[in-house]
Amino acid sequence: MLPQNDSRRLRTRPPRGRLGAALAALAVLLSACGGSADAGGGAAGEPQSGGTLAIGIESDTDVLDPHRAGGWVTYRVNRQMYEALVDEDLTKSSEEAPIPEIVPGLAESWDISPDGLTYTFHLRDGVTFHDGTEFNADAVVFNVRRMTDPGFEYYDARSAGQTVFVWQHLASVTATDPMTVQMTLTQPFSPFLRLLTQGGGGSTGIISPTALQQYGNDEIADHPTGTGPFRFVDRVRGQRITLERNDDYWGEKPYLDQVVFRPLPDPSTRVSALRAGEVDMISVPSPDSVASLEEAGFTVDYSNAPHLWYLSFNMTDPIFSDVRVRQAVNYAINREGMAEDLLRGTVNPAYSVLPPANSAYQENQETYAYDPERARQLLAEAGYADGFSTTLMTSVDGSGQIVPVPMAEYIQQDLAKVGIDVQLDTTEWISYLSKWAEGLPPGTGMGQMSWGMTTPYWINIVTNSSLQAPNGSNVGHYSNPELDALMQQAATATDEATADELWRQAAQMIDQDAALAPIVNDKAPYVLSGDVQGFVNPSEEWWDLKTVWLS
Amino acid sequence: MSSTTLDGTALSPVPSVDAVASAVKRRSKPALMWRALRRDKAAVISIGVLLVLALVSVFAPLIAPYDPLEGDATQRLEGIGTAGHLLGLDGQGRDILSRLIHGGRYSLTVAVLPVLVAGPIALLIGMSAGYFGGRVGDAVMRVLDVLFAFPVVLLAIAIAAVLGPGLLNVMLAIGITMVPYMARVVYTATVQESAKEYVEAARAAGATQGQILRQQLLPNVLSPLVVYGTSLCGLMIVLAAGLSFLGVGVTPPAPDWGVMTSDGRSVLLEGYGHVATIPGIVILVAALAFNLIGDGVRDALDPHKQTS
Repeated sequence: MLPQNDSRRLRTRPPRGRLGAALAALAVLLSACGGSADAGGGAAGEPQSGGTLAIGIESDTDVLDPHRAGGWVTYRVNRQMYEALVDEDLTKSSEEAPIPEIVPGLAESWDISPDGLTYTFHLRDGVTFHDGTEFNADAVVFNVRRMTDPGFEYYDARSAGQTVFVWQHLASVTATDPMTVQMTLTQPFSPFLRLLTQGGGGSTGIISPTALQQYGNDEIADHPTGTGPFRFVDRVRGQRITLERNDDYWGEKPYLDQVVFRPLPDPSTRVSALRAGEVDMISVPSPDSVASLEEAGFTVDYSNAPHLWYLSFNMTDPIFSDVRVRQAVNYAINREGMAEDLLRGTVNPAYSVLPPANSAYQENQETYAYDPERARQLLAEAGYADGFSTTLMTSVDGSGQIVPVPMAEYIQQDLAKVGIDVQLDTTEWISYLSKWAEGLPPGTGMGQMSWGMTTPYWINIVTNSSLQAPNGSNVGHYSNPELDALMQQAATATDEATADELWRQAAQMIDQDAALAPIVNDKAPYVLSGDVQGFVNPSEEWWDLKTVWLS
Repeated sequence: MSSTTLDGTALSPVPSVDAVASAVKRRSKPALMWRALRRDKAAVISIGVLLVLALVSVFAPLIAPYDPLEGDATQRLEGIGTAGHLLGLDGQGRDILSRLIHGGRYSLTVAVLPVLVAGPIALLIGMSAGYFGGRVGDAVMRVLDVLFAFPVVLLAIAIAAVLGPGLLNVMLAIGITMVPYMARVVYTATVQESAKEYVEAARAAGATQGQILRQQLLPNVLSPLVVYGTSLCGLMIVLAAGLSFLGVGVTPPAPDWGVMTSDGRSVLLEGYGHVATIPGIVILVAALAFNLIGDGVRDALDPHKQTS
């Protein structure tokens, strides 16, 4: 009985522990080598043009209007059609570039005044929008005013709301000549350039002013017109979004003729579609399918994306306003176990509110290593020796949420062990997003979300007291004036090293005060069939398809 | 209205009709039914199966080898026959057998209670609309028709969303959703039966409307409703699971059979088929049992098949 059982375990489960991780890494390495050797043999390793890449994505997208849209899933599509002034270099994997480098986008270069208040962007020559309109300084000003200037004819309040995190300190934007744009800020704002490249909330991709004038603020989403390497073909809601190569693209043109994004919200449906060859690659495989997909010859590509799956605590709740209770929850959750057992190593345990892939990130911040005994002790000190009941809200699916319900159930069991009785309140993703944005309701002690950015400034977005829900993403109504001051200092520091040091202090303060409970950092797995070549999974929540080709 | 002359012997006419019409029958009818049902082997076995499931559910804490809510993640998804876990473990490393045993408490309740709640309401609506007809009856049925236009799941979600999550609310939601369907069955049967000669005869004999409804129509209308109702019971388990999946039903980690099946779906093709299949089989067995009992009851209620 026993040896039999052991052999089954060996066969069906990935190895655990440090040695296990090493073996798994080796296996990934070997399979990667195998993949490239195949490509070398089959297609002579030379990228070839043509073909349609079908991608199974984890949910349908928001509107295809870069300023208005929210969510990673949507930006992965919008990014192929739209470009911002400044870009991130996504041609390097996480190993080559732990943080994506800031590179020129539609601006070829830029100057920042020594006081950090004036940004001058020198625009790229010879760029045209998909509708033939010429890209120039007026187009940039048009777009920025759409997002910031209530007096502008094409001002869009929704876009303004979504991109406020980028433009909050903008004082003015002017075209100083046809190819130069100058922006002035009301205060030095060190994350500004990086925020111009972000797309998890709104993004700053430049839309053709002609198209905006033609279709208006609401209709532009049905006629996306940018400058990107791919142009829009059509969209059937809930079924597919089709893009084709932009043959007039200013940079290296893509190899692919077409890209089709197919929303397949159920992980097992996604995996089946990949196995059946209906799609060539998928995002977020169910963790339990990874091993068998690898066995079947698919490549699983991981990255070190700035992706934190975390809990917010409801500070208006009499129980959770006690820091000892929040710390107890942090100690009570076995993150290692969740990462290794439940999620099969597709995530890393997270102990700090600062996700990886930003300049202030520090490894090994194990502030709250698993310690249920300490949790019980803290609860007793707080007067909850007999535990208490509360509610944890989460979604059942969604962009970046991994497998939220099983993960929440795992947490529920861990918390039960220290006496906290947790009810789960689960909601479908789109409804959940609006519910979450309203802030945690009374009686709900904890709320879950997945987020993060390649700038440490992100922690300000989720903890600054001025950004409490519903006016911001501080959904737990956390308020700490000392932290606010520290983050203000960090955001206005003009020297990067100083800024990073201040962000580290801020993150530490958040962690010590247990404002949030970081749970895991997703390794952003993508599964590719054998004929997908040249895909790079960078340290970002999105990627480029310019380098991808089909063998 | 005046039925005093129906048998002439009564002091007060109305009870006398009752008494005469059913003095003999009332005691013997269930007996006749039971006799007919007993002859139906499938129905008897089904009743046995459901009784066993119900008893196991009632005594779940005594029978179940493990806590249905507590898992050992290091052993998760291990298959049938794992040492100490007869039916294996689920995605959270919980003992599937223990969860099945406890799950009956949720699933059987969800299967039966909504139908029991909706049944009488449907009977009242369907019979009065079918028998009295007229504008009011028509209006009532049109309102129900409107409810038909909504997919069941959508309606149940809407109701559950208003009431909030939880088992009781799910049952209420499902029960309300079932009313139009069951009322339609009753209505159709009532309209058909009302036109039959025995109803005419009763009316001619001076029976009151209440008597006709209760004594003549009810037994004949009840049988299609019971058959339909029992066949719905199996569906209820699945519907409740669907609502739970959408976050408005039984909340995790409650070991509802439907929820267990949908949980296991994600690993169905990854070599861990037991997680979804085992509770799926249990649902199948329970649903089949309900259906077979329904068939048995239909036959037993059919006067042509009752033999004394």
